[in-house]
Amino acid sequence: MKTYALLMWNSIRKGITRFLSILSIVALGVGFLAGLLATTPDMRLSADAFYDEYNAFDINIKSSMGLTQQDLDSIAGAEGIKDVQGAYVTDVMISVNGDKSIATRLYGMDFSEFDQDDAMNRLELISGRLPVQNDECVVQSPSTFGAAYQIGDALVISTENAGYDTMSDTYSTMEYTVVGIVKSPIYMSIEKNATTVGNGQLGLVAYAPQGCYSLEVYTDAFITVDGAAALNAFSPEYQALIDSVVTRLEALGIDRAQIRYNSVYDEAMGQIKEAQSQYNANKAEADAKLADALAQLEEAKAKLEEGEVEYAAGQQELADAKAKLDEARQSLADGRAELEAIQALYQQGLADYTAGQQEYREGLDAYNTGLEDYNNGLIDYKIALSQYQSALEQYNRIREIYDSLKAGQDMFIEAQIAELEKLAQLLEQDHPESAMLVRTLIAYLEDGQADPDTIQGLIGTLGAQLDEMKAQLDEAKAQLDEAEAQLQAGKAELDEAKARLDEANNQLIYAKVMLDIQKVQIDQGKKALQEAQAQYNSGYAEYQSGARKAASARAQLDNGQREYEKGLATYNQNKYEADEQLSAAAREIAEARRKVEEMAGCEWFVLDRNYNVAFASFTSNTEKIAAIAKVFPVFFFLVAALVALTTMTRMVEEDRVQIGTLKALGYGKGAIMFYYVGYCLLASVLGCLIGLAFGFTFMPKVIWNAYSMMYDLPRILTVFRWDYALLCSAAAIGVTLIATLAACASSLGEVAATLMLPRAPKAGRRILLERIPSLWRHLSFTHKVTARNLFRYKKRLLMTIIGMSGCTALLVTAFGLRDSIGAIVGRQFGDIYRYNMSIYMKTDSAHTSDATLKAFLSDSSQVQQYMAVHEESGYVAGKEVHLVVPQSTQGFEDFITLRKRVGQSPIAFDEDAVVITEKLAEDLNLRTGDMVMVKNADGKPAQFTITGITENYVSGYLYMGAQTYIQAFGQQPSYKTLLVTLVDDSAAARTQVTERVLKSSNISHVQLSADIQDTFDDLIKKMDYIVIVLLVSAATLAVIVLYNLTNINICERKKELATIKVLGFFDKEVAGYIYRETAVLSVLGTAVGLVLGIALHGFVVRTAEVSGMMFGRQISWLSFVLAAVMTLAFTVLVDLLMAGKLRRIEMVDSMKAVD
Amino acid sequence: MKDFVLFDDVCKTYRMGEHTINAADHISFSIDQGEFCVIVGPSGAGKTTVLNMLGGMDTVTSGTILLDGVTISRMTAKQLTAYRRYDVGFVFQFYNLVQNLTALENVELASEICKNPMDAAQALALVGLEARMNNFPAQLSGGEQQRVAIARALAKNPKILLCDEPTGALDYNTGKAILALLQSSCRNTGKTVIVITHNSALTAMADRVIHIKNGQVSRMEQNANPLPVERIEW
Repeated sequence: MKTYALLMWNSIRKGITRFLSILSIVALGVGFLAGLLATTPDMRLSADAFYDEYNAFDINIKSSMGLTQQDLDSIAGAEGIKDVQGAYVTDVMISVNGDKSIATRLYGMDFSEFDQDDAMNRLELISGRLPVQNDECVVQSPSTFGAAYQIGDALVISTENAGYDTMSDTYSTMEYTVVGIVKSPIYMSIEKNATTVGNGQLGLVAYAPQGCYSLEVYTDAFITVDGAAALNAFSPEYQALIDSVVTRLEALGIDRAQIRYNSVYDEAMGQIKEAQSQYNANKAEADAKLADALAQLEEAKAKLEEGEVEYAAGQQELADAKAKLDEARQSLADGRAELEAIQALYQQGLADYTAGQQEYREGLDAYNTGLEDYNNGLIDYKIALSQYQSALEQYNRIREIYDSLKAGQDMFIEAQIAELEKLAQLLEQDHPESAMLVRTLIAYLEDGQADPDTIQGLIGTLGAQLDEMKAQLDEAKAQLDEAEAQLQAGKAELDEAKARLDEANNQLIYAKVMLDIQKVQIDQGKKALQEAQAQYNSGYAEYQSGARKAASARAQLDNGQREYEKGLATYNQNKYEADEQLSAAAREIAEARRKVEEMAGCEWFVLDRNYNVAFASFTSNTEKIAAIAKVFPVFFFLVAALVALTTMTRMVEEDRVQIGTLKALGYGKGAIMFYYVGYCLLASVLGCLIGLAFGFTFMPKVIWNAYSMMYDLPRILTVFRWDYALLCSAAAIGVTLIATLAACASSLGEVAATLMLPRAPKAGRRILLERIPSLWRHLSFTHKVTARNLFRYKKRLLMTIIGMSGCTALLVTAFGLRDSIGAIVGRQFGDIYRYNMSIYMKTDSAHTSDATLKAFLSDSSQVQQYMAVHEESGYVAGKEVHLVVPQSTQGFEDFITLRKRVGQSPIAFDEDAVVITEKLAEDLNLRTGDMVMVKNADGKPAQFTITGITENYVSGYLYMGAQTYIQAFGQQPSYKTLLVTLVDDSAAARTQVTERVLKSSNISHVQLSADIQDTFDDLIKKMDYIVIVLLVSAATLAVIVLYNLTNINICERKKELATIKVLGFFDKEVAGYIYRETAVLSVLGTAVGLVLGIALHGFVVRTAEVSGMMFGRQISWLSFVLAAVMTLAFTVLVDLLMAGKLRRIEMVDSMKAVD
Repeated sequence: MKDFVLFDDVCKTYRMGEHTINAADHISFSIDQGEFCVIVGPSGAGKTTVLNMLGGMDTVTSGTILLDGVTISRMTAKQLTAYRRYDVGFVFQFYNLVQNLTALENVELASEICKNPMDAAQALALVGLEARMNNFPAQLSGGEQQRVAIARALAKNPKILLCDEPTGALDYNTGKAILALLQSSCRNTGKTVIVITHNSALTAMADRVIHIKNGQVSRMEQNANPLPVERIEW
């Protein structure tokens, strides 16, 4: 056995890295598993110790009507009760140092026994002292409650509290001085407690002596249970014990509550009866007074109505007169127009007449002239006729003479001469030529000498002349006839003209007569018109005076009406006031009565620690760690098994000859196997011890530290847990031993003789890749070797890929966690909350009336835009949700972005929209289109159809339009919150803005997005702890696996490596021969790990999410790149570590026989 | 060429704790180009040390080694690697083939890294293995594996072929065949071949025989009429 131990010792010393690789992977696996497993109980143990140390209550009873001393006594008498303490606990708005008001839970406690260990709910004093006087208090440690309050701070119950006037009924002291800072396990979580005052979240917890309350009864009873302190508060045993007591107390509560109820009811009812009788008296008196006033008003009203009727009649008369006047005026105008038309006509007629007369006169003159001319013509004619007749007679005689002459030419010369003489004489006058001719003839005749021819000639000439004469006479006769005709015609014309003239004259005379008649008519018309005008004028004057009278009557009436209305208004006002007062009184009484009647009985609420926010959240968070503990170590165990398997296989193979020798020497199979089992056992056990030592101390501390950002916890208590230690060790050792046995099995089956011989080298095998000759041919032999080796050792391939993927997955998770929380900050406060500030006002829409606020909101140098919203805490399936109802759905996206997380597509938000935030929807398994039951702050339920699920990371919200809200809950939203986007969001500007806003007395408080963002930034910093743990584990995992792989590959191929060294391969080429394989496996592992990392990250994020908060689900590309780069960096690191080992391979080894 | 290989007063001393072992103690000899040389001696005489130093696998403590006029004994590690790569062909007792490469690929392993290699398939043909070149070493007999090793050494076109007990792991007949292959390679390619063996029967086939004993050259002889291997018996 001694040699056996020596053998093992040598074997360990020789292959220390091999031993260490098993040891460290086991340590890592066990450390992780044990650590994570132990963290939950350690954290719970520590918290329990904290509870026990300060003797925190086990059960808290709250009664809706308070608890009397008798109640406390009966509780104390119940079975299993260790101690009962009455206390006053109320939530009230308290202003700190005259600043903004904070929702505060004010405890009235009995500090007198605090120095004794069994005093309940003791406080850990961090600084200062406990309060002594009623106006002193201590406050909960600032690390749990945001703002830092200091000793000396003045706390004053704020006047803004609803019902401040009656607060002295509750508190005897309104002002407190902080004298100390304390811690208490009851408020160890930074998760905000809900409250009904202020913004709904508790901002401060203060503890003052009981005397600060003036209540007759306690509000709360704190109870410790017998034997509870000895149990772990998170254990089922504790819960069972408490449950049994709670059941008893609840039963007791039913009786006690009834007693309390009855007494309160009776007292209240007495008061109500008194108030009712007072009310009745007041009402009767007021009613009588009002009736009197009403009668007077009725009378006045009747008079007014009468006057009104009269006035209306007068008005009608006036209207009639006016109509008549208008008619008369119209007919006047018509008459005048008519007259004017006639006058115009007359004037026209007169003008025509005058013109006619003129014309007539001219015609007459012309006629007279014509007549004269005619007469003259006639005379001339007659003269010419007589001349003609005489000329004709003369001619006829001449002709007779001539004819006779002619006939008797030869005879009677003498007689003829005479005749000729007579003829000459006759001719002398008118025809001297013919006369001359005659005379010549005479002369001839007288001379007698003249030949007869001449005489005949002369006579012929004379005859011609006579013919001519006759022609002339005929012509003259024709002329005369013509003249006569002309004269006759002129005469006819004249006669006609005369007739016309006469007719014209007649017409003129007629016209004149007519004109004269017209003239008379006109004159008559004029006269009539004047008369009518006069009549109209007098009528109009009459009307005017009537109208004046009416106006004055109207004024009188109006005056009367006004007076009446004034009287009525006064009456109404009085009546309203009286009614209001009375109905207010009645309502008050009814309300009081209703309240009393509906008092819902008195109820006891028996609450165990699960109702404590800190306890509940702590419990759930520790459960989350337990969940993570189940997943994380899987990697390490899987890898541990593979590391053990590959290492032991290699070891057994290396020891073939030794095994053979031992076998030949007569050692049994079991004995030989025992050696390897022992070897592995030793490594595993040591690994377990190291792992447990680290795991049980280090891991809980790291997680505790990470959680201490949420909890105000004392130091963690780490305990060596035998159960987990055994479980983890058994698992780890079991896994490695199975691997070892599997590795031994094949070699040990062989007989000694074969073992002594060098093992037939593992045959090279063709791989799939070679079936693609085009690709294969282009590979160099080193690549070919790598490719073939990769597929030759499947266990190593598996180990490396799992190990490396685990490493990458851990890194992805680590960096992804930072991304996830980082994403909250960026997305929630950058993309989703687009406002910089929320202002909580004391009253609905105070920003429309408050001057300070109005000025601020309209100051464009500070405020970009703002929107009023209604905010209310509600519940969806028991989960708290903030109902947010913006005043206008339009433009709401400028304050809060509603969009889908995947794809970032915006969600429509209108009056009908009901949009829920993602985490809530996920928790409740809701989808768009689902119906959901929501209770508002008053507990009133309403059904909604979800129209969208929006990306959101902090708190749960339900956004809806005002119409939807009103329809659902039947009440108006009350816009008490303003979302404001600031022009400048720098720290200095924010301070300035906050100071300005808080000057308004209507502000409850102001919240800056940047402040919340800072809190989250802190959270991320603390997250780095976990990131470092994951990083270190990942690195360890990678290094162990790669070291193991490389180490085995080098040892196994020592001869091969020596040979290629001899063949003249440079160091780099030799390294590549081994590292190429490692590199390929690392890359493969990394690739798998990146995918695996997404899943692991998703799991961790979902598990680790704090209630009401959603971490980002996205991992940034950088994290993937970083994880991959780091994994590959680990590979390079291991390669560098192994380079020396490669260099140290002796070429001489190539000469050795056995592999 | 005369004195193609020259050992001049070469010493190699190993320190083993407090002891110093003179593996080579003032060794001097020379070999001409193209000679088939056998270095013979009992186990532990220093044969392998001589081979290691000549093959550039080990350094000298003192003295000079020249090959083809180049001083090997003064080379740095890197120069030695290059020297092994380009100038020396090795044939090992246990063949030292890469199990995961086929016969052809094993030859390529050497030929791919040198300057003026012979075609790998051709080298295999030279040793009569053209039919088996796609077999893995495990599928070949010992003699065939050694032939692959010789092909690998020849394919490099080295200046010198160093064979360390090439028949040590082989049976008698196969061993003879391998020696015949080496001898004919020497004759046909004119390469200088140095065979290290403890079997003195092989001296008859050599042009030059160097006897090593206790780290010293005890005797060196030249054989004017070397016998073909077939006629040697042991």
